[in-house]
Amino acid sequence: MNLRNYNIYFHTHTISGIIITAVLFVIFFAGSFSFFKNEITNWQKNTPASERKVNFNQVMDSLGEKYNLYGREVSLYMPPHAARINVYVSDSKDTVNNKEKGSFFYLNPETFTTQDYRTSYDLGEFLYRLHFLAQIKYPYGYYLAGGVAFIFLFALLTGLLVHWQKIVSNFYIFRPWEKLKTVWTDLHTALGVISFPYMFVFAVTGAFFLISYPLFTKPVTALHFGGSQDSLYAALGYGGHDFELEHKPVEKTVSLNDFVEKAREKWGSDVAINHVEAINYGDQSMQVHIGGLTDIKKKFTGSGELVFDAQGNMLKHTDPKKPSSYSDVAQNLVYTLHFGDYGGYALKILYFLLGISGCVVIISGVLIWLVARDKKNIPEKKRKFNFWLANIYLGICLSMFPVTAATFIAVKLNPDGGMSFIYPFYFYTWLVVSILLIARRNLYKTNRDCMLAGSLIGICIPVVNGFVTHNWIWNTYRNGYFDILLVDVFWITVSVGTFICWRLIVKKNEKPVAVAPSPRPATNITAPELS
Amino acid sequence: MPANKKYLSSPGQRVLKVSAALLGGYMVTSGFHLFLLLFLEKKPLLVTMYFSTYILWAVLMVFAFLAKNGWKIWIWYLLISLFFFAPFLYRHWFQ
Repeated sequence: MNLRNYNIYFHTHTISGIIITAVLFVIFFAGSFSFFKNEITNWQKNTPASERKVNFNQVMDSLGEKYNLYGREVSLYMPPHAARINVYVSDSKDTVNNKEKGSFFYLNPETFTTQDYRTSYDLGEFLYRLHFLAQIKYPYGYYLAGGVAFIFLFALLTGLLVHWQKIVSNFYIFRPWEKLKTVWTDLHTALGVISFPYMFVFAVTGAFFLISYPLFTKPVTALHFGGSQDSLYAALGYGGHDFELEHKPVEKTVSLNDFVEKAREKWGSDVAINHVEAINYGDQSMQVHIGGLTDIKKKFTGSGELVFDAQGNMLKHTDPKKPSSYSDVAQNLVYTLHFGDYGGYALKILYFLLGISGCVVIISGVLIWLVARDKKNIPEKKRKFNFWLANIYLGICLSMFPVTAATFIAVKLNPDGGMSFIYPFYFYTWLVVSILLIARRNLYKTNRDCMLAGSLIGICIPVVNGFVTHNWIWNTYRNGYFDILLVDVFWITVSVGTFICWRLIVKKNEKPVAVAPSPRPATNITAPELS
Repeated sequence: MPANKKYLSSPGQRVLKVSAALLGGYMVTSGFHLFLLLFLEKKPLLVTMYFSTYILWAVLMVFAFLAKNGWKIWIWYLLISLFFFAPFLYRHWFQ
């Protein structure tokens, strides 16, 4: 290979990677948990997902007690693997007689109790939002996460180019008994290459979700759609929600059940109805939009929509079972591939493992970077800075593991604490643990102790759940509460796995490396040896 | 084994290359897609842009860093962008 190009790939890969390390780790770690967002919610609230039978008329009646629904848009969204319905009630277009503000909230379709967003905020939602830094003031968190996703794409490309020539031969190399730097390099290369396609998808789709609007949507709107975002959305097949209220109420009461029944007849039972929207509710101009998804086993990406007017005439029909066009597939694919919801739990677990291997690639990358520069010919000042940075990165990143595990226990003991409980608990614990680890200035101990603490706290999670809810794993298994069971079994597996890791880490550190002895053991990098 | 210094740029060149990669790459990417939107069917292209934009931009970043001279790559990226944006500039000034 051209030596100059090789060195350029190498250097740009290193620098871009080092810059985004901490944020990218947070994104990967929290993102990996987000595949199980709804399961974590159900686990925390002890509300196992069941076959959801929704009586839409009763739902609307209960909403009608809270709001005068006339002229509003009422949107009912039924997420998969969840017990509750997400409800959005807009402001009314009748601004004279119906002034009360609309809102977003969750509704239990059996008891008709509602909960607003902040008080029902749970750990699943928290980790999901953390993975695109939504806790930072909008839109800065989104843009930061999106920018990092894009730089990550660049790092992926240059990383692949660095390894291109040896991609096959290095694929089979793994030397866990060698000195640590070799282990890290092998890990970084092998896991990086194996998970490349996965990470590539996430870098591209992640950037798309977060930074497309300012970077590409805006110029396209300005130059091709006369500045009108509505016409852009219409070209993409979205929207159609904005039309005038006629100010003529319909005579008889609206029955959403009738509309849904019509959709069921049309689509058959293997299409799951996932959203029902009534726009300009109760007016002559009312439209009912019903969305459905085909069974993933029958069609990879099939989404359909039915639009009715107030009299029940069909205005528009997109059949979810019809052959998809290129646009339909591509449009759905960016979401499907990112959310990993096309293949059941086995796929989600695989996605989780790949996500965690992303974390390993990130950390091993930082360690390679550090050790490669920990040499006599590098100026003292630079080496101090390098250690300082790696120490902070590892403290912040690795402490996420025990802190997340501890938060699972905290939300089990206080499941209805909402946002005002989870925010301070997670962020203060994380801050304190990171500061302590950073202050100790010992990378080996940071790694060792985070593994052990996470593993010990993690194994307590199913136990605490058992004591609090009596949903011990054998009970959840017997009752078929598989979402709750999944979280408990997940933590048992993770805890056992990391406990083994901890044992291996300690063993490796105790045993002096026979091959290629170095004047300082690279395993125990501490700050003092740099001074 | 950090990269061999003799292949890396001077600080001034580095600024030029980083800016050409990020800014110039973005200009060429958005220009290219906006230009194509003039001729091709809108929806399929708009949907393709969900992913093609970022991939193209990242590849253009690699090219910017591979360039021998930061000025040259900037000039290239500016010329290409100018070509892609020409119809819009024409419309803006003369219509």
